[in-house]
Amino acid sequence: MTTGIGGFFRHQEAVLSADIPELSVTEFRTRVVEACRDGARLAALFGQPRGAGAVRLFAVLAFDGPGRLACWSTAVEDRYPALTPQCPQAQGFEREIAEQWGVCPEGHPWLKPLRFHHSYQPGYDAWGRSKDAPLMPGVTDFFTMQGTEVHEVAVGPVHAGVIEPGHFRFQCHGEQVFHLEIALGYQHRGVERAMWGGPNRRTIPYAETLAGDTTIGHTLAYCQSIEALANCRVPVRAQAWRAIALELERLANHTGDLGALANDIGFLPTASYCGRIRGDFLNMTALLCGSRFGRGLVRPGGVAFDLVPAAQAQLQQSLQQARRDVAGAVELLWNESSVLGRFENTGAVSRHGAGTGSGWRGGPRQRGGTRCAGAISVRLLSFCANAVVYLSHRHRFRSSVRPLDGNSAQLDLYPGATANPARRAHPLPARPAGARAHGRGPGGRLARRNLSRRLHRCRRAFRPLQGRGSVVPQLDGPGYGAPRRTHLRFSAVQQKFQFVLLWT
Amino acid sequence: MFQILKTRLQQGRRTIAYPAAAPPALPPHFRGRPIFDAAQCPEGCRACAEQCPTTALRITEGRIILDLGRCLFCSDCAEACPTGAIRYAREYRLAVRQREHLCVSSKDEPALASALDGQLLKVLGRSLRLRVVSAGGCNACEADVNVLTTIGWDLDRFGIDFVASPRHADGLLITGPVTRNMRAALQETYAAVPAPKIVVAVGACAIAGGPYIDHPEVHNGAASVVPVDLFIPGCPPHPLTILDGLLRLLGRRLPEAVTSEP
Repeated sequence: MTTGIGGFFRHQEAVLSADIPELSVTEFRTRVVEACRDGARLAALFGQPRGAGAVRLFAVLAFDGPGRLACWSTAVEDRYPALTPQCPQAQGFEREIAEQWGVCPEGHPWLKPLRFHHSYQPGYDAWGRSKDAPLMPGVTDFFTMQGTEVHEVAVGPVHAGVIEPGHFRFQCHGEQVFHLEIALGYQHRGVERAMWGGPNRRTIPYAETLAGDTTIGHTLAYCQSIEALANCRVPVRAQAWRAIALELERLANHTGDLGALANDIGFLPTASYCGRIRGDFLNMTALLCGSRFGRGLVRPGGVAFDLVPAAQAQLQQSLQQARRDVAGAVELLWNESSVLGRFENTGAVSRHGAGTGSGWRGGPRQRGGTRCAGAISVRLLSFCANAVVYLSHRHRFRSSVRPLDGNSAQLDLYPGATANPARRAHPLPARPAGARAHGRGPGGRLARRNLSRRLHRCRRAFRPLQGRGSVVPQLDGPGYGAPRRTHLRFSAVQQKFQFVLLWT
Repeated sequence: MFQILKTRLQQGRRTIAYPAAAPPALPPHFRGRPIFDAAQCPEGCRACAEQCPTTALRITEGRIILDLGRCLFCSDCAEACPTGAIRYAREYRLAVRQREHLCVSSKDEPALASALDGQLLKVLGRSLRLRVVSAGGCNACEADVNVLTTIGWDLDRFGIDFVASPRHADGLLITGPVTRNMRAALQETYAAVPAPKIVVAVGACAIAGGPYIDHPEVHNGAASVVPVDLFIPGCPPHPLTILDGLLRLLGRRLPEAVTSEP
């Protein structure tokens, strides 16, 4: 497979690294900065060692409109002018490059270690530390505020709840949180370095355990890259199974997050229902493959399990039940004026601010701008629940349920022959003679559409409704900045009696 | 208000009846305790051991020895086996008290976890408060531990709860392989728990390092940093496995029946 002209290519298309244009540092910066300014996302920015301290930098940009990717590269020595001042999306990537390869992005406004490990190129360290110096995670500079009654709250790495480790610094004035900065790296376990030179027998377990709740997403991303390299075509029925597993994973995560948002504002009915229903979705994934997190399901070339018809019927039934349960639990939240009052203007992040966090953790479900913004130091107007996040979760939840019906229909269309006999990363099945790599047949197109759209396109602007059904606050305006009054059409009491208003 | 009551009625009672009744149904492809029959092994065959991602399987003098603490329950060995000598049973009860009890050969009877010793059981047996330390895993174990506190499992009815401070805790529940970057935090949390205290290691990572075993960035499990009293294997363990282990530790009466074969 060859690359397109000028470094452009499509998702799931293999590109020879020799075909990736190598530009001068100046042109590389100009292209990336201009593309990001025009709305492209910086999907990845990483370094590849060339020996003797030299590093080749690669930038992958995603253009949502035409659905294309671009990859450009440049060669740098021990330092280069940082992209971050002009392109804030690059901030985490450039910190990673500095930490891994000892290349200093000059002019980076907040160049701190990301995962607190020594450089992979011994003798090259962006901060000039010796290779034997002990590194303490979280021991670094933090943004602080000064002023009367301003106080700092430090949390973690061991948290009060049952969650991943991380160190948070909140800059607070009373109940208002002005700034949150997060130091991570406590979970650094060397997966990226261990995957070099693969695939080997641990590669799939690595992909499956990058993030436990995104097992299908990450394993699928890995398998698709292997399949693209091997020109391997995945059976349509297997693609439908993958799509179903992916949607179930999203549903489980969104349901859990909706419950967590309710929990954060102390509305316990929805929190406890959603916690349980999340478990129901995990059990549906277990119906596919025996593991509640989808371990062992996705493999290069296809899927490892086929579903017996009885379990397929059970899956449909569980899904209907869960759909009713979630609707009840979440509508409850949405119809409660005290909850709406708590969500209003809370933690909303402007589109501009949200664009700076691209690539955090890299999971498909976190690509939406609002979610990313929580992970980096973004000025939060106030903290707790996030109305924008709530809305986007609710929307994504709804948009996940619908395609599942389509996937089920596909399964009926393509019975049998699910599991590709080639289960392992190697050897991969050869491409059938005459077949196109991306399955241009009617079935292939159908499956591919579901996969790629659901994975990568989940943005849609919310419009305020005006009086019919649930009334929602206006969440994003052109002059968004300081805290502002509510934009609700009706007061809380009016909402309660909305049906009377509409009736009269 | 009426909406809340209506939804409450619609949602109904969803807490599982276990352990008073049989455990909930497990999915068709559920992978519980691996069972292997060394008698079927072809002469000199090492296919399973070579395929295992974490070298949990060892073949010495014709005997297969499986370390459940390292096992990821990934079924790669079962697929590699030319004679079908390895399969996964539906046995969910896996928790043990000693690390060596996890290394089993084909003939061994599983040495399931026993209750705490007399005095400790008297102190902790009726009410156990645990502080969860996520020491660098993938978060799946944490998710399944969290599931136990939902209304579906309702861990509180057994007097077990997860608390926010080590000062309020009777012990630690550790997940993850204990990364280098989490070592100090884990040690400090352990020191902050008042004695007598216990430690529960949940998942392959916390027992032996899981898929990250022998990485320079990790410490190969909780036992390398703190003494462990209960090992719950799995990647991640099913909530039923975790619940079974905790109840065994507290000496609660449990149903003997194993879920039937599919």
